[in-house]
Amino acid sequence: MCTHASTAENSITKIGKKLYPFIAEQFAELYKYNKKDPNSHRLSLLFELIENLQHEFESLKNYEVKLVFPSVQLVFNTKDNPDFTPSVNIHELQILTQKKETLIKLILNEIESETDALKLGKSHPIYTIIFVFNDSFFPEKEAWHKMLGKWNKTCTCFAKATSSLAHQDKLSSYLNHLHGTK
Amino acid sequence: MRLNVNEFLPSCAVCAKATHSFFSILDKENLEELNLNKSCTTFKKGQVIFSENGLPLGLFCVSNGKIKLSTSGPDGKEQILRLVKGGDIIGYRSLLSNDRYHCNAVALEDSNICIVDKAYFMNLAMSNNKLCFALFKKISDDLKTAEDHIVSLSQKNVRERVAEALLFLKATYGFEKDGQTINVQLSREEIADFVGTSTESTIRLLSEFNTSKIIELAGKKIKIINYDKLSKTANLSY
Repeated sequence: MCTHASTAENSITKIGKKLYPFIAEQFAELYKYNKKDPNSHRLSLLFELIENLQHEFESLKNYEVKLVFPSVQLVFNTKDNPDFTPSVNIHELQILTQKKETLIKLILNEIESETDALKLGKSHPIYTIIFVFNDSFFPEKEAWHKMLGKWNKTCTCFAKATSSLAHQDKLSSYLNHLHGTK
Repeated sequence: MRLNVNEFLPSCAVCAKATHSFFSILDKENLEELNLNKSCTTFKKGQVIFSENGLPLGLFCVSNGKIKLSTSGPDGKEQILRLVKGGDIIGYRSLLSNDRYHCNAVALEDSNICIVDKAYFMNLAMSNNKLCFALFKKISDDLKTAEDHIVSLSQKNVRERVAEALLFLKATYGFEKDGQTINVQLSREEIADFVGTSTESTIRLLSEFNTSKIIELAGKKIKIINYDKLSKTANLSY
């Protein structure tokens, strides 16, 4: 197994099993609070933006948990098999997930300026969401992408993870097995 | 650039009534006074009425024609803010905030436009309660439109999401030996799950992509025949 495998595993656990469920909890908390608030036009606009943020976050989580993380794990776990060349293109997946993160950042910026304009008070749970994204989500994701970028240049396992045609069936069956698809 | 100044000079009383313009709330006396404090111009199709960063010298009131208000995005791409027709006013935001224009105004067709003197308009807005309230209402309506636009911009539509899902699947599973067919067979339900929409919508959009020759469907197999068009459809340009 590649020496980077355990580092990747730790990051995947931290992001997928700790950070993402925590963010999902914060969204649930916010919607409980929302019901108690008067439904002014600007507040409803703010909550529409929050729904967009949640939608985009859930979508990113879905792709990462189902496709990106298992692909990275597979790349490392098959190091000992010299014949195995994965079909996954980690760099391409990275670009796609970064695009989704940029959209999340844009929505969050809108939410921040709307929240400030509404003068909701720093104790409002919307600020918890803003804080979690700014202080945990983005730094964690930045570290993750930095790590992948570094491995792309220095790790032989990652060098193999290009869109080569060989042994794609093996990757497909591995991922299908994980998702329970045929 | 203006052309044919005062070539046409409609009376505000007639124009306000005919077009239900912003100034239609003014009484006869005010409208006559307004007449004396404006100049009128015909802008030919494609002519610039005002440009981004220009200083406002007066309020533009469109008598007839169509005007496009637009600005440039960070990538230089034109972004249309709104279209304006006869009876509407433009340039009031910069005038009221004492700021430079934040957008360009271009005539989409030959348009007759009156320019109300800045000092006169500001004085009228401060002294006439009805007009002042109408101005508040106009700004509030514009704000609501802008806010709704922000929400729609930040929301990816289902078509974009289906295209994005196909790009993710291609990046994960790669292509088969033909270099076009995604090397995985997922049911429509499974693709819908990635997209976060109903199976029916997914089926309809895949079929649309098939018709537009972006992809080719053969059972569960999906062949990407126009990768560039698929990327554009996913709208990842932020």
